[in-house]
Amino acid sequence: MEVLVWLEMSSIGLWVSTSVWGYPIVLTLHTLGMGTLVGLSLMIALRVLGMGNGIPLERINLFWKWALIGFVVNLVSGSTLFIGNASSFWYSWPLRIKLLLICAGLLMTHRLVNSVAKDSQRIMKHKAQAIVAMVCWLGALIAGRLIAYIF
Amino acid sequence: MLGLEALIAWLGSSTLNQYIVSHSYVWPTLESLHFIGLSLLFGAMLVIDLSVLGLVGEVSFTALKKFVWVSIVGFMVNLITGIGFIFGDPSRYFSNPSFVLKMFCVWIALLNAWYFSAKVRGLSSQDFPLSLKISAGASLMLWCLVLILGRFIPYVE
Repeated sequence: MEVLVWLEMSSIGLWVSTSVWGYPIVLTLHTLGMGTLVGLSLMIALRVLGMGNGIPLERINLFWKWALIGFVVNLVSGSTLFIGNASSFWYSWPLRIKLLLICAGLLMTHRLVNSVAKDSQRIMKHKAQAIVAMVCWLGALIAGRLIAYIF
Repeated sequence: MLGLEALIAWLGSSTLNQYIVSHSYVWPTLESLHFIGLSLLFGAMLVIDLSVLGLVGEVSFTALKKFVWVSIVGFMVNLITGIGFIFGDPSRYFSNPSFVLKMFCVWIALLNAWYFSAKVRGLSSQDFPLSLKISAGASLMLWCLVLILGRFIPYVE
């Protein structure tokens, strides 16, 4: 597709793919963002599953706000990495699966954080949601790793 | 250094090395596990350090204790998978400046965590003293540095 080649040839695309430090710097930001987003999302899920009861459930939305900073970092850094190699990333199945799982993980964790603060009675439902969210995040992480191995 | 060369030769001829090199699934599996361990360690570290720094509201340390265990689990996963990387590609790491610096930062971060846990033990109130807050800030920076240096290993060899 022409758009993909045009993206690769843009100044950002060329900076990521041909400069010495462009790619490692953006990739490192992507890893820091991942540690923040996935890490805190997993901790939120573990808290809902009953770990660390001393942290009030109404408080976990504060952790979610920090996690979303990681998401913004990764939206920007991930788009930049994509632009640098658009014509091969566009066809990557691990990347497609990863993006779907990220959407699911964001939606699940967002709903979990909101519903847990409002209604602390439906414990089983929240725990099930927490497990689904964890599976989404771990799946997204593994799919992301496999982008480099499965073409 | 003769000792290091002998160690690299031994690692390279070990059964574990033969297994990792001849099975293509092992390396991506180790990497995935290393990233899961990273998320557990980094996420638990953020919960503890942001709380102590007062950036996520007031939290007592007893509430955070369980997350210390999560960070230890994440660290152990990464210690084991990290040793796996060294067995799989022994000549790659010991002379890599980014890896050497990363290991140095890991030691400092562990010493800091040890200081933190010794300091926090006697505390009953949730008013964390300044020394503990400095330790939490140092922990944030050190683990970020560990992650950054780890990511740079392939680009400085």
